[in-house]
Amino acid sequence: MPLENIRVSRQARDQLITLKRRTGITQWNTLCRWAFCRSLAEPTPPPAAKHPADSNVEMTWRTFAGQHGDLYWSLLRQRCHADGLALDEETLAQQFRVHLHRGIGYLVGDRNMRTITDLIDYAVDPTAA
Amino acid sequence: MIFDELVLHNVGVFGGRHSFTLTPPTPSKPVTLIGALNGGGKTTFLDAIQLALFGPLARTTSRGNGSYQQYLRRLIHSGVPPEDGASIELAFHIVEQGQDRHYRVCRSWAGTSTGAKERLDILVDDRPDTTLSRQWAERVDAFVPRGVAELFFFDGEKIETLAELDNAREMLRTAIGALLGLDLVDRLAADLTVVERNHKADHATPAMQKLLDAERKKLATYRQDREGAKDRVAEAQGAHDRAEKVLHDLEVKIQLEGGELLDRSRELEAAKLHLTASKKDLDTRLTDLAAGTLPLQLVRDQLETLADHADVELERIHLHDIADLLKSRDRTTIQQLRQHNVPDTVVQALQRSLTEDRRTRRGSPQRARITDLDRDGVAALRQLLESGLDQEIHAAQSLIEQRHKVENEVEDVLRGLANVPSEEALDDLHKRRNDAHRAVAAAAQALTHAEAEVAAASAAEDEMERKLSRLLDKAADEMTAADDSRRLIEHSQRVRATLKKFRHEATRRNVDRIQRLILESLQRLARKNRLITDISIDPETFSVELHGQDGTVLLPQQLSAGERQLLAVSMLWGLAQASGRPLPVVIDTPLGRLDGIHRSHLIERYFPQASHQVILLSTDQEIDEAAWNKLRKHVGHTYQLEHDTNSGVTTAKTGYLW
Repeated sequence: MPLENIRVSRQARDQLITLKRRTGITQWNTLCRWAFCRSLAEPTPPPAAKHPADSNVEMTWRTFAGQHGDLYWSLLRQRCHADGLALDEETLAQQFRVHLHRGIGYLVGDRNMRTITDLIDYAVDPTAA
Repeated sequence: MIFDELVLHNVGVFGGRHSFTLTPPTPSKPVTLIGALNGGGKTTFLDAIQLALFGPLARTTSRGNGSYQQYLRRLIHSGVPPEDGASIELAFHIVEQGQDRHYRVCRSWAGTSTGAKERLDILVDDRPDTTLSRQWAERVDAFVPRGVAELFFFDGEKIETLAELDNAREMLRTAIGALLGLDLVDRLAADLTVVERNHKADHATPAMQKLLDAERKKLATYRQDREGAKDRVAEAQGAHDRAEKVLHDLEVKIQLEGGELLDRSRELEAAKLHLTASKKDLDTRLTDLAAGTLPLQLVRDQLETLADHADVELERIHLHDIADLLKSRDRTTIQQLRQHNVPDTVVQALQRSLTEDRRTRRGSPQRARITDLDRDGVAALRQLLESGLDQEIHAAQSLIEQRHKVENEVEDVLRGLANVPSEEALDDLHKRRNDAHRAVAAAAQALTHAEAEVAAASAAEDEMERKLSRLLDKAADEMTAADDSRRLIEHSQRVRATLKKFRHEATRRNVDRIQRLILESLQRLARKNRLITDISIDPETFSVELHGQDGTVLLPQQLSAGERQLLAVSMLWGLAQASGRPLPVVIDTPLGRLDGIHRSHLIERYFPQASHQVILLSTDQEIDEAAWNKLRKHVGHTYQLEHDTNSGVTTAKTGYLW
């Protein structure tokens, strides 16, 4: 795997804490998966912002992806390919970070997302999201 | 009646058994003479006769004031132990229905610690008669009426007091009463008085009236009680109704103020707790679900694309692999053809054909892989897209639905809870409701109590009414009975008046005869027989008046002691004659203080004629030798009582002093 460790920014950490509070989900990795997928679902390419890894929230790729690690990886590659980016490791890692942080931002920014059901509704009932 | 025998056994001074035969041998010899010195047992002899006949009722001189038992005990001879006892036997015969009938009265007794135990046996014609023995006390009057016994058995010295007019009157009253059977009349009158009194007591309806009044008053009280109780019931009913009204009002108020919701608050709280728990549970399950593949649903389109791309990529790899395989086999085939010297043209043609074939097979030229998924990854992805994700979504939907439901319920519960009024506001109401409940209960109890009181009072009243009606019936009966009583009393009073008249008349007639007989007796006995010319007895008061020669009234004090004794003897004699009873005469110390002339009158005129049997108990000074000689021809039996002062024992012998 090109990404051994994932460490989010301090801002993202604070946002994750907010999400934890709203959804009742206690696992960082679960929230991060949702954030990553949330960002991937957005057709526009993420802005190439800098997201310093300056928080203490850190996990391995394996922790992040769980049993579907190759699936998440493929999704990232496909997205990068679709966005016309090279599929080199550096680009992929950078793109992952960008998507992750954008997704966290989306989730936090959604004022309607207040409970676990609201979160799951993203998946179950996309019209409500 | 004739006394046949007297047996004394350990009686008084008579130690041992002494038998006196008393039957006169011939009618001309009626006198039995018993001589003794003073203290020799004469009085004991007289007392014994009376005691034998009358027992406890005997008027003996020696009895004194002690009890009968003590008297009997005292009477046992001092020489023997009281336990040995004593006995008196008196045998007599009377003519009954033309035949002689012999009786023997055996009275024996033995001393006990406190007195004496007495036994009485009556033998009729030598056979014991237990019935007569039991009833002797009542039957003895048929033989010897106690009232007249004194007329026949007496102490000459003591009768002098009879001459005292007061004593005479009493004696006359008793004697005449007994003689004429007037005591029966008296008893009848007395019994009638008792009857009248009893009936008067019965007649006393006021008692009944009083009882009725009391019962009526009680009835009124019960009625009042019942009315009071009814009032109390009404009162209690009112109180009860009021209490219930208060309670009802409170209930309404409590309901209005959400009292029932408050009651439900616990339920709601419990529901809330339960719902919260299930919500939490659902959240956990949702969280778990969220940790699964659900986020991939967000990129489902991309997953589809990914799957397609991956298939294409894998197919291309497959074709490349086949082409590579074919290339290697084609090369081997060509080499073998060359080795077997197949012409080059054929080989080259085949080589060109194979190369072309491989080029077409390989298809599009090799491109960089994008998906980078292997077959397993694709299979997992396909599985995810075909069912896995949908299942998870379905599960999530169900959970979300449940959660919504729970949330709605929680909201309902919370709304309900919000509607529940605050505890403090209702506390007061609840307290008041509890008080009201208590008040209602108390009122109900009071009501029950009052109703019970009414029932009790009614029952008591009914009972009293029944009792009163019974009493009224009884009162009616008693009124009838009272009428009977009144009639009975009237008759009884009339009978008593008649009896009184009868008594008076009977007495008056007999008094005349008695007067005459006494006067005759006196004139036969008295030396100065003209001293008393007439005797009159008042039939009412029985007072005796003596009249002198010139009709003047003589007082007994004017008579000498001897004269008074003569008068007394005359009275006894006259009365005895008047009684018409053929009873023996027993006289103790018959001559007493009489002078010689009076003595000879008595000896010659009285003793032989006093009765058909005369027993004289005399001292040597009374019937002396001269008198003895005069009396001798009338005497049937003689006994002499000799007293030994040393041993204190009297023994009887036949024969007289001379």
